[in-house]
Amino acid sequence: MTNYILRFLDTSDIKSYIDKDGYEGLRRTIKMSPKEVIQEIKSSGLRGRGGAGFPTGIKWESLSNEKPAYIVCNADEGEPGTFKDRLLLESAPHLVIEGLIIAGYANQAEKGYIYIRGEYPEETKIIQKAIDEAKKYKLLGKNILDSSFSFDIEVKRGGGSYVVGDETALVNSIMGKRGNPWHKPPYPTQQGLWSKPTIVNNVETLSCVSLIMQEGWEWFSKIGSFDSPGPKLYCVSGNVKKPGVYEFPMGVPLRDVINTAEVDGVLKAVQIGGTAGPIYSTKSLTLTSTTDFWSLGTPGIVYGAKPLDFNLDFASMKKIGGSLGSGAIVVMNNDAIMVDVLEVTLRFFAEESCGKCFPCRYGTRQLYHMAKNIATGQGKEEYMDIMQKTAVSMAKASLCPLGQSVIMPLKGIFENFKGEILSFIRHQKYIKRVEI
Amino acid sequence: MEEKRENIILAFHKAQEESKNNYIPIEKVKEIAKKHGISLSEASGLLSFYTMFSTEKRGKYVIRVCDSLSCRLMHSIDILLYLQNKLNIEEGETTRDGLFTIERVNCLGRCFSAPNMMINDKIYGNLTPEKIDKIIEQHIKEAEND
Repeated sequence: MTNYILRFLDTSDIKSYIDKDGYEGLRRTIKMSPKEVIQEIKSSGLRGRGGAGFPTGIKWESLSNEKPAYIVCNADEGEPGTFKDRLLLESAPHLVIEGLIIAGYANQAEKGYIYIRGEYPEETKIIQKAIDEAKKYKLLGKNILDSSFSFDIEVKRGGGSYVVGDETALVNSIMGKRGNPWHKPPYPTQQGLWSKPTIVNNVETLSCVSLIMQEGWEWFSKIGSFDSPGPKLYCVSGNVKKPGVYEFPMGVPLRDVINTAEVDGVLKAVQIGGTAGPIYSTKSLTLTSTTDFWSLGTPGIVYGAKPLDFNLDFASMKKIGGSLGSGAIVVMNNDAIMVDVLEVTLRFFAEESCGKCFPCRYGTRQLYHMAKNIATGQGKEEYMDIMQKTAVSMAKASLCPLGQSVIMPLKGIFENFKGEILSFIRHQKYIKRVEI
Repeated sequence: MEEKRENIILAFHKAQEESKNNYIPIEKVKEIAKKHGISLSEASGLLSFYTMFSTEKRGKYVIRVCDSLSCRLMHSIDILLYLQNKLNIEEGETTRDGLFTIERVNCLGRCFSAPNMMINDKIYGNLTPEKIDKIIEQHIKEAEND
C-alpha cells in the first residue's frame, strides 16, 4: 500500500492542508509558464482516473486556443461500487481544488466548475466551504498569490443521473440541460460549455495533478507501472471483511488488493471497474473464451501465483478484455446468487439509460424484462441466447459507453455461470453449488 | 427577473427543499421555467430526466434505499422488504400520513458501509432491522415536534 494521496485525508480545514505542504504545487505552478506546466503533467505520464484512462497532459495540450476556455472537475461519481471521489471531496477538498486551480492556470481557463452529484449534499457543502477558505487565503479569485492570474470556481449540483458522468453529458448538465451525451467529435476540448473549449477531469486525476506539481513529474512517473504511473485509489466492496478505499501503486496485482480487504467466505467472482465491467469467476480452471475472461482458480484455492495475479492498470486490464474503469472492485463470495447479480446489473442499465438512442433505450428495457422474469421464476432457456444477441447489437449500435458496455457484465455472468443460471431457469430455484 | 439557464437545476433543488412534501408543484415548475427562459415542456423534460425530482407529492421524508450490486450482496433487498412491510407501502408509494416515501436507487457512493439508505439529505449505513426501527422512530418524533 502507498500513502501519497490518502496522506491528505482529514485536511478539510485549509490550515491542516497547508501544514502538509498543500498549495505548494500551486506556488510552484505560477512561477512556471502554462506550457511548462502542461509539459510537466505530460512527462509524469498521468492518465485520467475517471475510467477511460486518457493521458491528462495530452488532453490539456489538445485544448483549442479559442477563449474563453473552461475547466470542469467531474465529481459526478455515480459508478456503483465507486466511492473514492466522495472520500476526497469530503476529506481532502483542498487537494482537489488545488489541482483544479493548477489546471485552470495551465490551460489559461477563465473559470472552473466542480460538478457534484445530487446524492452528495454534504460533500457539496464541504467543497463550497473549502472554496471560500481558499479565496480568503488569496489562493483563488483575483490575482492569485499576487500574480496576474485570476481564476474562480463555481460548484454545480446534479439532480440524480448516472449518464451525466460521461463528459459530454456533464457539459450539457452544467448548462442546465438534460444530461444527454453527444457523439464525439466534437470533443469538449474543441466545443464544450457554451461551445467553448472545455476540459473535463476527474476528482482523483486533479488530486494527482496537485501531487505532481508538489513533488515533480520524475517522482510521480517512478510510482506504479511504466504504462500507467502514479498511485491509484481502489474501492473494494461486497463480501469482504474490510471494505474501503485502498491506495496502491498502479498495476498492483488484484490478489494483493483483495487480500488486504479480506474476502468474507469463499471467493466466487469479482467485478472490476464498475457495473459495466466484466465479471471474473473463480469457478473454472480453463479460460472460458479467448481473452475475455480470466479464470481465477477453483473457489477458495488460489492456484499458484498466477490466477489472481493480473495487474490492475489500464494496459493490463485491456489485455484481458476488461477495463480498470474507476477502480471499483466488487467481491462476491459463494453466497452470491448470480441470477440476482444479473437482475441488479440490468435494472441499473434500464433505469440509467438516458433514452436518447434507440438501441440502448429499448435494449436495456428488454434485457431487464428478461432478467426479471428469470429472477422471478418465469425465465425461459432461450432467454440466454436472446439476451446475448441483444447486448451484442447494443454494443455495436449504441451512442455512448452505457449501451455499448452492457455486454461486458452479461457475457461474464453467462459464460462463467451458465450452469447456475440455467438450473435456476429450469428449476426456478437457486441450487447452491456443492463442493466436492 | 431573468435567471441564467445554467442555474435551473439548482432552482429545482431549492423549490423541492422548500416544499414540505419533497416535490415541485406544477405552478412552481411553470414559474421556474419562465424565469429561466425555457418552455414548460422543456422544464418537464429536465425534471423527468433527473431522478431526484418529483412533480408529485411525496412524503416529508424520502427514503432512498440503495440497491447497487455492493449493497445487494449485503442484502439490500431484505432492507427494502423490511421497510416496505414496516411502513406498509410499496416502492414508490407514500404512507397515508404523508411522512414517508420509499424509493430504490442505484448507488449512494457509500459501498463500504453497505447496505445503505438516505433519508432526505442524510445517509444511514450498515443497516439492520433494529437500526431501521430506531431511525424511523426518530423521524416520526421529529415530525411530531415540527
